[in-house]
Amino acid sequence: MKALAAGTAGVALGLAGAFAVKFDLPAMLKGDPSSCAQCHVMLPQYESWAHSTHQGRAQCADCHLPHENPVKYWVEKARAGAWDTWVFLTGFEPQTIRAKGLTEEIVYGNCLRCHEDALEHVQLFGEAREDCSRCHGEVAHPGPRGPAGTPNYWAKEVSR
Amino acid sequence: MRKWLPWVIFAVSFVVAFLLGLGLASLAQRRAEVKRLVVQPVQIPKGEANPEVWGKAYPLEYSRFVMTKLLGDSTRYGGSIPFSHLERWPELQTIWAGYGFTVEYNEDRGHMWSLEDVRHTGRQDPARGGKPGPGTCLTCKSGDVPRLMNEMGVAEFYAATFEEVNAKAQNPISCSDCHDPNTMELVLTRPALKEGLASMGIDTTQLTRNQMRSLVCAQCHSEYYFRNPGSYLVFPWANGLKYEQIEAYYDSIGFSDWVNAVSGTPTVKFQHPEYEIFTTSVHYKAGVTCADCHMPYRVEGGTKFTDHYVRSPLFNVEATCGRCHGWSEEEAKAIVYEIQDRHQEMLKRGAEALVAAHNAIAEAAKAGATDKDLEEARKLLRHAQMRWDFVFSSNSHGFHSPQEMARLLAAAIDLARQAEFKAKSLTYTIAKK
Repeated sequence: MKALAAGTAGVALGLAGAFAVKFDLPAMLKGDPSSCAQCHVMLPQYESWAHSTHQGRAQCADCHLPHENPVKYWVEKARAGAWDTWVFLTGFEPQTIRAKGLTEEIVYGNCLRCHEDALEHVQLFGEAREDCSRCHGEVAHPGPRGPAGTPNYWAKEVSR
Repeated sequence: MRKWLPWVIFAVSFVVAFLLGLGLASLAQRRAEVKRLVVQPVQIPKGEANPEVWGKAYPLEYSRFVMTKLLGDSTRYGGSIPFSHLERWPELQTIWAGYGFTVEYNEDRGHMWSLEDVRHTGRQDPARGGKPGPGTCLTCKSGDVPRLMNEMGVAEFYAATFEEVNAKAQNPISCSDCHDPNTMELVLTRPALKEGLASMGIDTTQLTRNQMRSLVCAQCHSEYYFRNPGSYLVFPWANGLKYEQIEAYYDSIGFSDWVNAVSGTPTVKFQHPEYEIFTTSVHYKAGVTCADCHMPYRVEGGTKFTDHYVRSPLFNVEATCGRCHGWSEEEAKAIVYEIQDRHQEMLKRGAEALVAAHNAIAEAAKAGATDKDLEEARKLLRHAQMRWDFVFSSNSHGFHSPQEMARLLAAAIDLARQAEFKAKSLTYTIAKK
């Protein structure tokens, strides 16, 4: 009986290990941008960033995860990662992927993290939304969203 | 150790392993999608118009193209359900009095219905008050047309009876209308567009791919008239694409489609000048093409291809507006419908002004005004109605170029009321005598 329990537990652990290997867990934990593009539906986002002025200066996690403290960072990383994995494996991603809700808030906070000085000279009037990307969205992801602006993206293997 | 504990461990491990296994299988499957779908090396014969044959080589494009056969859905003002415009717009019986469009005028259905719908329209049916047209009426309704024009000759195709060319057409609008069967490049297959562009001094061998992504549509979604004898299909573009340039062209050759039966006004009936109006828009200036909104890129598996399910972008906001604009689907739809609502309001005022002018001229004629007396009022009404019809007969319900369409409707309402005033003054003068 004990052997059976140990055996099945082993199977489960083994599979979990395989899962981690398949998903390149070390690269993901490090926050390597190419690991975000492992799921091919993220390739247009990866490609547009790789051709942007922020390439080499800010990586995916620098803008898309909160940096106030490590707890917030890792909780959001786990939440967003689990959600994206779920959507990818069930195949329900939209034709045009874009930042919404919580992601918009996080991204705005991260704009300020580097560019707060620039905002000292800016006054937001009336109903102006506190959302840099509403007007400056082209900075990190230039061109049309989704497959429209990314020719032959399916054929590209991301080097890692 | 309790007796049941290993079983619990077993059950839990089993469920976890099972779910992870499913996940891995799905992961492997979705990774495989990255590979480009291998296209079957099917040779498509020259002149082949059956979309099913092309579909063997291009299954993704074909699978979406056949969806134009679906009955679809309505948007607020359009869509693909064939409702009667004559019921929605009672003014049309006066505006088009004496012309075939008062017999039947339904909202158009998807591309795959084109042949069936032209065969059964009341406008061609003598039993319902229509009259059979020439071969020209089939020009934009079948993918067999390029082949038939090759076999018969272009002028001969136009001059033939509808019955004759109809008997030879087998397929609705098809792949062969826009694509070269060997290279899949976009091609212009209709002489009228090539001749129209040439009349504007455009070299049709030097068109960019971006221009072609709109021009293949402009082969049919443009204003045209029949030059007689021979019902030769002509795009009135020699002066340019703007409304005033087209009006000057029609006036210079003294062209009218028919004389309005209420007011005796000789008028041009416009037909879907989509391309002309779109070229005045801000989207056109930004380099957006017809295909970007009506046939956006689509991803299935890891393959990116052009969505050949041609339809209103209102059914597909995320893949059309959403590609460039940061709005949510609800915001984007609200913006479009706000434009279309305003447009409907202006159209309605225009229709009422036209009806008032037609009736005023009819009354003046009844009171004894001569054709010479009424010449000026009829000329004003002709130009008012042409403006209104140019806008009304173009798809998009105001969206393709909101400001240009509003400008034309403002002028149409002004000219129609001027015509009405002229006619009423005549009636008054005659009554006083």
